Amino acid sequence: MSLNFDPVVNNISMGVIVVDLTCIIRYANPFVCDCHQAGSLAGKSLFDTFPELPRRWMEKRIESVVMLQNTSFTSWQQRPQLFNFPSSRPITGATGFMYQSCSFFRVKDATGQPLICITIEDSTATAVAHGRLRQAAVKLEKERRYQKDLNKKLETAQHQLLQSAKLASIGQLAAGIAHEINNPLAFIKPNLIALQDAAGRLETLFNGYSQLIQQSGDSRLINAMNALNEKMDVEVIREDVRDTVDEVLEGTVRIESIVGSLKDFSKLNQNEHQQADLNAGIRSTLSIMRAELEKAFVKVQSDLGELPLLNCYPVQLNQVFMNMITNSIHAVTPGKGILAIRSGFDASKNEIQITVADNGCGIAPEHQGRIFDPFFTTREVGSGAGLGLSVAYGNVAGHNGEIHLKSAPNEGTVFTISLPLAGVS
Amino acid sequence: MNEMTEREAMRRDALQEVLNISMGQAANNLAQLIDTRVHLSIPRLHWVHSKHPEKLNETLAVIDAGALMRQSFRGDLRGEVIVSFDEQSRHHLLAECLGYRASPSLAECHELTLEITNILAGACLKGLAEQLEIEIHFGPPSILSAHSSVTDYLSRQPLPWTDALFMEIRFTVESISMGTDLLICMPGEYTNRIFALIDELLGDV
Repeated sequence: MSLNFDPVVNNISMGVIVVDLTCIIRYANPFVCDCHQAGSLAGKSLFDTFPELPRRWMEKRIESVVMLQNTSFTSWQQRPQLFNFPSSRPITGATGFMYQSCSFFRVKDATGQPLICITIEDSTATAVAHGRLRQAAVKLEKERRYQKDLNKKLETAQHQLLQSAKLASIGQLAAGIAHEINNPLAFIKPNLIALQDAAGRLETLFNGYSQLIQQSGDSRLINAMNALNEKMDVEVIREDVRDTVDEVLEGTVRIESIVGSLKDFSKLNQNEHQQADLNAGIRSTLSIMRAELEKAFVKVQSDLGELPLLNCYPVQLNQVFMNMITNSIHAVTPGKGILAIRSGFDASKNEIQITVADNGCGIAPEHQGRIFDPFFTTREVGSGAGLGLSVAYGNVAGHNGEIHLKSAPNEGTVFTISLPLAGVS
Repeated sequence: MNEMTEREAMRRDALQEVLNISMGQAANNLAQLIDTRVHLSIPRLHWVHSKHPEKLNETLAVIDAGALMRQSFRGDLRGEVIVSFDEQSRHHLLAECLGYRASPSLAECHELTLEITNILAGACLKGLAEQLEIEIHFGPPSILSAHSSVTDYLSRQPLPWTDALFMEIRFTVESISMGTDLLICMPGEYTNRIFALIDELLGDV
């Protein structure tokens, strides 16, 4: 059964061009003629008819197809428009031209001469859909990044909040302890002073009695006194009573000082900003951390200059000092550590500057950009949450201030905190 | 049992031989087209199970990541060709030979890589088709991954076959330091036809 395939080629929604090896068009189906808006193209030069074709590239393709007897392809993705055909979606498409995917393959004419068939598939619908999908993907990616940033900010805010809540609890606890210790201290200290006075008087009395007995010349009495003194080890007792009372009193004064520092550190009105002396905050923080510093054998050098009062949240700034000092304690070699804290007022910039420097292991350059990130830590897992410097950064930023870092491995670290005198708004 | 094993071995050797002859012809055609010497390795056959595509790493000559292309073929044989271009492959130096500018744009580079895939796949499978006196037709090539190894790519995909035959041919064009690995891949159920054709050849012998 013989079939006439002309209606197929005439009606197919695809361009078909057949050229000979000299690129003369032997046949072009109605799809091509319609797109080219010309009559019959047979007998015309392919390159004259379609001057937009890249001639050398096209000839090479045809040569390759003839030589390898294969089919060659182009895709709308790499070569959107081989032929200058108008868009098949002039109203709803995104461009004025037709996206095309083409193929080239060898056929033979009735006499067996090789010809090249070029098919042109209209890929406009695919390209438009692909373009919209890509736009949607770009938009989704943008939104995903925005969400990710937002989540990070939320996480940071949540931790700041948690830290603030923790600070408030610590503040309340410290103030409670200070209050409870202050109560017994209120009668221990005056009683100790009274005891010290009484011990002094008793010693004077004892000396008086001894002198009177010596002056009496009664050798029996004098011998009895000396024997009693020796038996009771009176000289040692007198010395012990004096020293013990002095030491206990000194301890009490230290307790009083620590309680005072605790109260300063945790000034309870932390939700309200107030005029505060930052040097007092530094001193009270150093006092609270004295045990930690001594445990690590860190030598403290403080050089606190005259500072104007700053409108601030003192507890938050004390927390900054504490976190920086803690960082230094962990950075230094035990027994060789030096912590230098300086404060001063830069009138030209109208800001307070505080530097916390140590001679510790320093911070590696690749870590310097991340040390203020929440949860970033170089310490062993479980030995630090990585929140200290992040909280410090947040607290200083809350006072419109900045923290600058200067550090080199094995050469130590200097944190410079700058706080504008305008303080918190 | 021994007879079966012997038959399998003969089939395998025969397929290997057919591939050797086909690839020799492919190398000649390619050399003529790009006007430079092309070296092809001796083809190697691998059976791959879809549960363990990573085992390909143990047998493939080239396992490094590179640009991955694919192209389907149909007709008397059915499957896909996967071409992996080495990371350092300088196949873009073939641009001028294939009618492109000396410094092609990114889109042209992609098109060139796809066309080289088409030429390599066409050359290899046409050679095989001629040897077996069968017809093979090709679909357009496309990019699988800009940077992946064959095994990594297959390991990440749900694979619709149980086992498959991978025929591996390594192309090198020393003059331009081009290196590519071509895999003619056929799912197990489609290999009956190729082995039937091989059986016919063996019967002739």
